[in-house]
Amino acid sequence: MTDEMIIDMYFSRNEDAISFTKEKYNKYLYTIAYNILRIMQDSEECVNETYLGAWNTIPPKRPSVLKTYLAKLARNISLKRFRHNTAQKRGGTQVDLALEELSEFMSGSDSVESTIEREELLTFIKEFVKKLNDEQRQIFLARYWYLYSVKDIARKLGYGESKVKMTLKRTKDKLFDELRKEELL
Amino acid sequence: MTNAELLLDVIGEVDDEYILDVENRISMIRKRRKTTFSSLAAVFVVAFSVIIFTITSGYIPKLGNTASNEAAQESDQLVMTETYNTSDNFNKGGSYESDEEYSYGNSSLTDSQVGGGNHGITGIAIDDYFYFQVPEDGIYRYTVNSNCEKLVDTSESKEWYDLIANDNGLYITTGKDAIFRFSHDSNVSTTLIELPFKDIYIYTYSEKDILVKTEPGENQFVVDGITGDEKKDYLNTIPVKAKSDYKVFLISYDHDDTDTWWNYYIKRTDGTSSSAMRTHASTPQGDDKFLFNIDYEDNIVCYDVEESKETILLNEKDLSYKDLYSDSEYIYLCDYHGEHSAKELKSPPMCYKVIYNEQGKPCDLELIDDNIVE
Repeated sequence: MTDEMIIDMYFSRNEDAISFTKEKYNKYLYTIAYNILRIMQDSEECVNETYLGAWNTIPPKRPSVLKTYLAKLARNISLKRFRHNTAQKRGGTQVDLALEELSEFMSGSDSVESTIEREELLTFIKEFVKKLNDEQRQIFLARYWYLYSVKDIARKLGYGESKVKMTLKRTKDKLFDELRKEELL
Repeated sequence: MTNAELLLDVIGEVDDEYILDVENRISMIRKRRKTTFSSLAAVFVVAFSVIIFTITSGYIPKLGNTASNEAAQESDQLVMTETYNTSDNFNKGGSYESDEEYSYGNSSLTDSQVGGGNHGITGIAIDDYFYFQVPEDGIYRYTVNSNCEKLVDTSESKEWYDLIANDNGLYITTGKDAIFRFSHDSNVSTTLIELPFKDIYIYTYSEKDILVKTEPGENQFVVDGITGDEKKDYLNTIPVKAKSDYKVFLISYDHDDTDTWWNYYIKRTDGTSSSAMRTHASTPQGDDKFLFNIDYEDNIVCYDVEESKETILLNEKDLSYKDLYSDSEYIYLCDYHGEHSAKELKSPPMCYKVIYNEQGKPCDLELIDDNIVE
């Protein structure tokens, strides 16, 4: 079953679309959710919410790549759930660690509203990621998009651990240098 | 929403092709490691034919060069084990994955053996030897100022071995069924012990013995490093430091949130502790007096455990991307870009000798070999 056929099912409001989506992408979406939440039940719920989100938004949206559309939905839903779950306390999850890493050079506490315009930051990030070489980009996104740990990144991408650590550090340093230059910090 | 949360959110909106790119690389690495049913069947047919040929003709196939029929038969057993035990994959940790996940060694740092956990090149430095494993190629032994030989070929099986070493030699296991040993002066393996477990972890326990842990049930026991006989009363004895067993003196660690800085707390074998050693890109290696690793400024640094002082021994561009292995006598640098063979490595492993001054402190490095594979 191709993605095009599945999307057509969404458009014709054929509920089999969800079954086929689940069959094809359930494990992938679960991985994304679990990386964020680390709780099986919550992860399953977020994946189910992802299917509901897909049903509610397709149509009118017609994703050019169904896989990444679902992945982004799952990630956003899981991050929202994460924030809800950890409103009172912070733990040692990969999301917490990632936020700490990104907070290193950014101002703002947990209770401060962001002063950066989202659109401006989005444009900046897209340009920044485009300029990275393949290796840097893969490692950077494995850490901050997929929220894999350093060890998991080394194993999954087939690199040594020192290389992953070093690449992440230098890419992050570069990110913050450019954020400063653009006066987004 | 804080700025950091916004940034994390916004990173989620990068172009689809880049998200897929990561997934494609993960799939490619996973496929490379996975033994397909057809490959298994083909290897089984070949291996079975070899056995029949062996029995009928008296010719014994070799794993490395053989010195005796008995040793060769045991090495033949190793080949068979590689052939048959690749179908039972399981997830040993990390994030949740599908059952396509390839099995790998224990990735916990405090319990890790050098050679398991991540799949760049991994190695062990001990005396005049350096053992290293290249993914989907094999396990090699480099002898200082001598040669580099391949001990185990994994180009067909794609198996990944956990490695440890002590005075008795190199021990390897895929984590399933059996542990094999190469003595330092031989390229023929012997079976140390066969075990009815699917999940085996090995650790150096002393200069002679090894510790085996198994799951499920988390059994653990010590075996004689040569005979494989279980030692019943080990639990009441204090482990003796073994070379390349950095677990003995790096008892715990914590790290900052970026995984950039790891604080290692040194505990000596006499039970005394050293102050935290803040370390860098690579895992510290050495012995209970001096530890070596690479920092983020492309320096090879030596940490004096007694004085809690750090000295820079070498600075070179892009050194920080490399993995360092050392027994305090020699330092080996490895780098890996996904090549399939040791001969194809863009940055082949290098060997340096640690130079000590009159006070017995490391002061310099001497390049011994800039390409130990050649």
